[in-house]
Amino acid sequence: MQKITIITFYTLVILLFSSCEKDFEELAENPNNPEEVAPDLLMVNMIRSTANNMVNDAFSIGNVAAQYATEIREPNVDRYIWNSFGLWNDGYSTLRDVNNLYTIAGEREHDNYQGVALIWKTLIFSRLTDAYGDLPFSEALKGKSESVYFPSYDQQQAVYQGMIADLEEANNLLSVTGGSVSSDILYGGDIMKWKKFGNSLRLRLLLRQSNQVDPSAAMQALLADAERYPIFQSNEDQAIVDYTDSPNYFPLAGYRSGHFLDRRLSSTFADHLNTLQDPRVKVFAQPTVASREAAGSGTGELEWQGVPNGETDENLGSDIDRQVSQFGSIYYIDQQVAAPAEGLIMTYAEVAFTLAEAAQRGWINADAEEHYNNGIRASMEYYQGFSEETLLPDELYFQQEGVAFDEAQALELIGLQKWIALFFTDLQGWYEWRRTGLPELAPSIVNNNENRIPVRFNYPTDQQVTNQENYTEAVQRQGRDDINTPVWWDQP
Amino acid sequence: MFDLLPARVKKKNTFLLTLFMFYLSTLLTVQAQSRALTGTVADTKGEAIPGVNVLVKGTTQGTITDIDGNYQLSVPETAKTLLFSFVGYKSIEREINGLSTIDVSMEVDATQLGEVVVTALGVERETKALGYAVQEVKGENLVQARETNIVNSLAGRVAGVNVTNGSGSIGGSSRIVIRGETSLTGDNQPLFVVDGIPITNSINGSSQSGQDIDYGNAASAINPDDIATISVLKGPNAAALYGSRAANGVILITTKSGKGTQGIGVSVNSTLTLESPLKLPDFQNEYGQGRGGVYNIGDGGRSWGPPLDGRPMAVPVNTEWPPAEGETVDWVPHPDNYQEFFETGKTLNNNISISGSNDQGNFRLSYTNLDQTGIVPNTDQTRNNVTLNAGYKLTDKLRANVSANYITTVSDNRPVMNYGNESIVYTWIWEGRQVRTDKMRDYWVKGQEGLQPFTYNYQFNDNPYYTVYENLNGLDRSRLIGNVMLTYQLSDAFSVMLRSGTDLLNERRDSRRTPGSSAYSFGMYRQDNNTFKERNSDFLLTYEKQVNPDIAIKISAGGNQMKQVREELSARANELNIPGIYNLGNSRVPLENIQYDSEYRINSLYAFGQFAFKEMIYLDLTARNDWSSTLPPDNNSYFYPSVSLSTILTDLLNVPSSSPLSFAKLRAGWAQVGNDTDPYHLRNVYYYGTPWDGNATVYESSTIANADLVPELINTFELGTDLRFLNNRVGLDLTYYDIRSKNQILSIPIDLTSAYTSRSLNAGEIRNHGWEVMLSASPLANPKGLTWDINVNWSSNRSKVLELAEGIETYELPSRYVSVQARVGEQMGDMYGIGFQRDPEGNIIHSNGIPQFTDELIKVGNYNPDWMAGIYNTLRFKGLSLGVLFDIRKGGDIYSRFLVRGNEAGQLVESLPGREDGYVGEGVMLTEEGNYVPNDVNVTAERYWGSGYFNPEQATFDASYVKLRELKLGYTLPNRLVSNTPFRHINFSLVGRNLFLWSDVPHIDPDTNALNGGTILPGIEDMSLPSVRSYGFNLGFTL
Repeated sequence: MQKITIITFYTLVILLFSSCEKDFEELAENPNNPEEVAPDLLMVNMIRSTANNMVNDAFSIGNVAAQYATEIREPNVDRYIWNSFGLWNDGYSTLRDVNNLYTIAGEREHDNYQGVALIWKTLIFSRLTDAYGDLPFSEALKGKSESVYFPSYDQQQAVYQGMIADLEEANNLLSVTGGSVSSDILYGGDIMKWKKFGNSLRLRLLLRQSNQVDPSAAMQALLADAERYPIFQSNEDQAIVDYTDSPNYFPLAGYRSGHFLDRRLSSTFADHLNTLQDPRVKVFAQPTVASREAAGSGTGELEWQGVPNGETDENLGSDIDRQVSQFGSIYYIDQQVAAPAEGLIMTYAEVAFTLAEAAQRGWINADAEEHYNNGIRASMEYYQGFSEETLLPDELYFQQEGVAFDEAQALELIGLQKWIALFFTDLQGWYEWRRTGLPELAPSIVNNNENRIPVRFNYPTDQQVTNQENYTEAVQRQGRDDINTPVWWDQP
Repeated sequence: MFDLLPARVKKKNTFLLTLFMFYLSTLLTVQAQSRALTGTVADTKGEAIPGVNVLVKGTTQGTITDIDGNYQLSVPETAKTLLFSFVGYKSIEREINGLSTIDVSMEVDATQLGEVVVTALGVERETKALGYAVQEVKGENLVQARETNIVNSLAGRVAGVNVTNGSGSIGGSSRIVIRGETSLTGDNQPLFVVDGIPITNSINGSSQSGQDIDYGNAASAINPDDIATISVLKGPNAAALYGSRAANGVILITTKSGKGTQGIGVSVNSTLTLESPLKLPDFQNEYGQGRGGVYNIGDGGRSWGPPLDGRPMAVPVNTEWPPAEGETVDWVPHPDNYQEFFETGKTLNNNISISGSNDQGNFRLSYTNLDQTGIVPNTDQTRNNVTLNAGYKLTDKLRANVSANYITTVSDNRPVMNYGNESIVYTWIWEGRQVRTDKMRDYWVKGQEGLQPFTYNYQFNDNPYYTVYENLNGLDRSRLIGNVMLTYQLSDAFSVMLRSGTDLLNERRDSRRTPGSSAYSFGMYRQDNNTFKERNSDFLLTYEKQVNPDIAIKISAGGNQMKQVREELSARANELNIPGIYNLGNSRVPLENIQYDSEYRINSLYAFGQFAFKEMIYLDLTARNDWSSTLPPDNNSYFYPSVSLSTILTDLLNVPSSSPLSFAKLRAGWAQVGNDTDPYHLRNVYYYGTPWDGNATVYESSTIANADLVPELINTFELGTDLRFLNNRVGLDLTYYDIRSKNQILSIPIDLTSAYTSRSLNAGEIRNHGWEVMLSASPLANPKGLTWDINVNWSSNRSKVLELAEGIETYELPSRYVSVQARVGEQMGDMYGIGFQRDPEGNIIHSNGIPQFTDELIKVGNYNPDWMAGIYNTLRFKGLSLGVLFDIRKGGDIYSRFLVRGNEAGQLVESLPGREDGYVGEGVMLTEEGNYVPNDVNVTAERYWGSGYFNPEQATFDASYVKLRELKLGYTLPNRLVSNTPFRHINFSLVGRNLFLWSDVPHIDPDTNALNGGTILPGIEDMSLPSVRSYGFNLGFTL
C-alpha cells in the first residue's frame, strides 16, 4: 500500500510540475509577428491598397458620378442615395503605414523612402480632401507618436498648403544618387519617375485649387526649372499599377458578374464618344448584345449604346441587357482570364491637359493647342496597348468639329477631352467636373437629391462618435455635412 | 431550481441493508479495544454523503465524512454508540459493539430542508450553508426533451441566465450570459467546468466576407446523457477556486460517476426527434420577379415585376436553359417555395452506459452517438461521445479518480450564414415569388453538368440547391476533456488533493467551392487546422474539523497552474487548377496562409475557509492571487478575496415547526475578481500582407498597444433569502445583486484619422444590478395519486455605464447595420441607427414623397430584456408524468435584416401597398413657406418600400416572446410489469421542444441572432435560418 502511495504521488509530481517552462518574459513576446520591419516591406501593401481603392472607387462611384457609367440594377449612386463611402477609412488606414514608412526611413536616414512616403501621403490626402473637404491633416497620424487621438480638422486651404509643402520636401529628398528603393511595384525603384510623379501631382493640386489661389507663380516656378522639378514627359512616366494577369489581381476580377454588369455605359459618355467617333470606345466598352447579333447575321453594325443616368425603373426592364453596352473586357470577363486593365493613378494625358488649360488661361506661357493635342494622342496611345484594333486617331479625328482646337471654345474642348481621358481614373473625372462644370452633365432622371448632382461625400457617421467635437467644429465651419455642400476649392 | 422539493422518500436500498446486517452479524464477536473505526455514509440510493457529522454519543469526539462519504474515527473502548447526523437527513444511532467498520445508510428527513448542490471544486454542500446563489439542473431533465447544444437546455430553467440563440445553423452556437453584461470587451460568458476542470466554450465561427459559418460553441459538445448535474454559480464567489474566468459565473457540470450503482448496471437512452421551421416569413404572392412592373432575369431577383395573374411569360423554367424559343409558363405565384426548400431535420441520439460500484471503487463507461440532419438540405452533424469515469480506493487513505470524455464532431456540410451570396436565406430573399423550388432541385444546366448551375438569376444568385450540395463546409473535430485526481487522507483532519486536467481540442475545417459559383469562377479550397490545449494542475491541502458540536471548520489552501496553447493554421487556394480536386497543391494562384500561435499561463495560489456555527450560521472566505503572462511582466500579479454568510433564521429564532414559515434563510456575499487580458496585447506588431510577385509585405495593427496595463476588477455584492412555507410546500428564493466592473482592459476607440482605430487602456465602470426570484410550489402532493409541482423563475437585470475612458462618452461594441453602443449614463445593449426625420408632432417628414432619414444616429432599441421568466409545471400520476416549460422574455429589441432586405427585394407583405397606383406615404412634407403639410406626393411602391422606408428605426422590433420550450409526456412502466424481466426500469416519453412561439416580431423568431466570428451579436438578426420546432420520442431503460 505504502509503495503505491509513494509511486503515484511521485509520478504525479513529475507530471504536473517538472516540465521545463518558458518564463513570463518570454511568454509576453508575440511569436507570430515582428515588432520592427525594414522600409521596403511596407511598399507593396501601401501602393497596392491605394491603387485597389482607386480602381474600386472609380468603378462603383467615380464612373457613375461623372456619368461615364450608370447603374441599371442597384441605382444608389445614380439616385444620389450617397453616404460617406469607403474612401475615408481606406485612406487613413493606408496612411498608417505610409506614416510608418516615413518614420522608419527617417530613423534609417533613407531619404528616398521618405520622399516616396511623402508623395504617397499627398496622393491619399488629396483624394480624401477633394471628396470630403476639411479633414484632419496637421494633427493626423499622430496617435502613436504624439498621443493625438482625436485630431482636429484643418480647413481645406491649409490641407492644400500642407500637401504642396510635402511635395516640395519630397522633391528635395528624392535623389537618383540616394539609396535604392525596392519592392516598388509602381516604378521599380526608378527615383526619377517618382520625382516626376510628385511634381505632376503638384500641378494637379495647383490646378484644383485655382478658383481660390492663383496658380500662375507656382506653376511657372515649377515649369521653369525642369531639372529641379521634372514632370511627366510621356506615357512612360505615368503612375500606373500594372496588375499581374495570372492570377488576375485587377480588383474587379473577384466581382460577381451581377455587380460588374450593373454598371453600364452611360448615355452621356456613349453619346460623346459616338459623336466624335472616338476609337477608345472599343476598349472602354463592348458593343451591345443586340448589335452584335445583328452584325453577326449581317443585318446591322456594331453599336455602343448607353442608358441615361438615373433611368426610371420602368425603362430598366428585361431587354436592357441587350440594348446597352457593358464595359470592356479588360475590366472583367466572367470565367476567363483577360490581360487586365491597369490601376490608373495619374496619367501623362492629364498633365498635358492641365498644361493646356493653364496655357489657355494665361497662367503659364505655353501653347495650349499643342498640349491639348498631346493629351489626346497620349490617351489614345495608352489604350492602343489594350486593343488589337488600331485606335490611333487619323487626322480626321483632330480636324472634326468638337475636337479641332478652337480658341473660342478651348476650355470646353480641353474639358471634354480631359474628361474622356480621366475615365476610370479614381474620382478625378467627378472632381474636375465640380471644378469646371465640364462637360455639362444633367442630373439623374430619378434622384433623391432634388435634382442636384452631389458635390461632396458625407463624413463617415462614426466621426460623430469617435471625433465628435472636432467633427462638429468642422461642420459648423464648412457647412452642413451634406452631399450638396461645396468644398473650399469648389466655392465661387 | 427544479428539484427544489424532490420526492426524497426513496426505497430502501435492500442490497446495502443486507450487506450491513451481514456485517453486523458476522463481526459481533470481534473483541473490543481502543481502536480506529471506519465506514461509509451513503444515502438510500447509495450515493456517498460528505460532511456527515459522526460523533461518539455523549462526547465531543467526532469527525465528518469526506467527499466520498468515508470517515475514520478513533474511539475509546468505553464508547458504545455512534451518532450520525446531517442536515436534511434523519439522524441515526448505531451501536458500536466492537465493530471496526460501520457503514450507514441515511434517510432523507422530509421535514428538513436538506437539498445539496454541487459547488465549486465539485463539493456537494447543503444549499442552506451557501451565502450566494446557486441553482442546479439535474441531468435527468436534460436527456428526454433534449437539445444537442447543452447551453440551450438552460433557457428558461435558471433565473438570471440569458441564453441567446445563434442564427440557426446545425451544430450552431448559442450565447449564455448570467446576470447581465459586465464587460465591454469580454465575451461575458460564464466559465464552463467539467468535473472540476475548466473547459473552453469559445464560439467557433469562421468569418470571411460572404462566408460566415457557425462551427458551434465549444461546450455544446458535452453530452447530456453523461451529466449528473449542472450547477449554475451565478456570482463570482467561486472565482477564488477557478480564477478570473469565473467572474461571469460558472456553469459547473458534474458527470455521472457510477457511484451508487447496484452491482453492474446498464442503461440505454434513445431519442428520435424531427425538426421543422418554427416560424416562416409572410411573403407577398401577388407580384413576380422584375423591376418597375417589368420582368427581368438580371435584376437581382427582386419581386417588383408584373402581377402574378397567370399570364404566359418567357422565363427560365427548368434545367434546360435558356428556354426554347417561344416557350412560356403561367406567371403564377409559388407561395410555399421558401418552405419547400427546407427538409424535415432528423436527430437520432443513442446512449448506452455501463456502470458499477462497490466499496472499493466505482466506474461508468458511456457511449453516445448523435446523428443529425438539418432543415437545410445536405447539412448534418454526427457526434460521438465516449466517457469514462472511475474512482478507486488504492489504499485506505488514497483514492484515485479518473475522468475522460472523448468527443468527435463531424459535419460533412454546414450552411453559410448571414448576408452574403452563399447564405441560404440571402439566396431566397433574392428569388422571385414565381420561382419553383422543384425546378431547382436538379441544379445543373443540361449539357453543362459540373460547370453551370441553373438559376433564376445568373448574375447575382447561385441556385440554393447547388450551394448546399456542391459548396461544402466540412468540420472534423476531436476533443478530449479529462482529469486525474488523487486524494490522500493525511490524518483525521488533514487531506491533500492533487489533480491535473486537460482540455484538448483539435479540428480541421474544409471549405470547398466548385467553379460555377458566382463568387468563385475557378472554384476555391480552404483548409483550417486549429488546436486548443489547456492544462490545469492543482494541489489543495485541506484541514477539516468538527471543533465541537457547535463549530465545524474547513480550511483549504492550494495552487493552480493554467497553461493554454492555441495553434491556428489556415491555408486558402482562391483559384483551383483542376476542378473538383480539393488539395492545396492544386492551386493556380499563390496560397493565402495565416498562422497564429499563442501561449498563455496563469499561476495561482488560493485559499478558502468555511466556518459553521450550530448549523445556523455559515461563513465562507476565499482569497486568490494570480500571476498572468498576458500582463506586463513586472506588474502581473493580482489578488482578489470574497466573503459570504448564510444564517438560518428559523433555527436562530427558534421558529416553531408548527409555524406556516417552515424555513427562512438570509444570505449575503461580497466578492472581488481580478482579470487579465488576451495574450500579446502589450506591444504593436506588423501583420503579413499578400506578397506581390515575390515581394513580401506587411502592415501594422490598427490598435496602439499598451505596455502598462493593469488587471481588471469586478466587485459584486449580493443579498438573498430563501423562505419556505406550509411545511415546505411553497418556496420563495429571492436574490438581489449589484455588480460593478472597473478598470476594464478596453480597446478604446480613437479616431482613425490618428492612424489607429483603438488603443488599449484600463478604463470604464459598469454597474449591473438586478433581482432573481424563484418560486416553487406543490399545490398537489398525493404520493399515491396526482402530484403537481410548479417552478417559476424570474429575473430582471439593469445595467448602467457609469464611466468610460476620459473624454470618451461613447463606446461602440461589435455590431452590424445598427450600432450597439455603450454611452455614459445609459444602459448596456443600446442600439443606435438612422431613423426618420419627424416634425414637432412626430410625423415622418417626406421630401418628394420619400421619407427623410436623420443625419445622426438615434436610439432605436436595446437588446437586453426587461425581464425573463421560466415556468415549469410537472404533473405526475402513477407512472405518468407531464412536464411543460414556458420561456418568457419581456422587452428587449431586435433589428431584422431579413425585413429590410426582404422588402427592398419586394418579397414581403409590407411591400404590397401601392403596387398599382403608387403610394403616398403617411406623414408630412415641408412647404416652401416652411410649414408642414400632409404629404401628398405619390411615388412608386418600389421606391417607397424598396429604398426609402426600412431604416433601422423601422426595422427594430420589441423582441418579447413566449415560447413553449419543452413539453414531455412520459410513462414509466410499473415495477410489477418490469420485475419479471431483465429490465430494472423502462420509460417512454413523447417530447417536444420549441413547439410554439408567441411574438409580435414579423417574419422571424426574435430569438435568432447574427454570428460574428467569435461572438454572437445579440439584437441583430442577419438572414438567420428559421429556428426549429422539434418533436419526437424518447425511450430509456436500465438493465
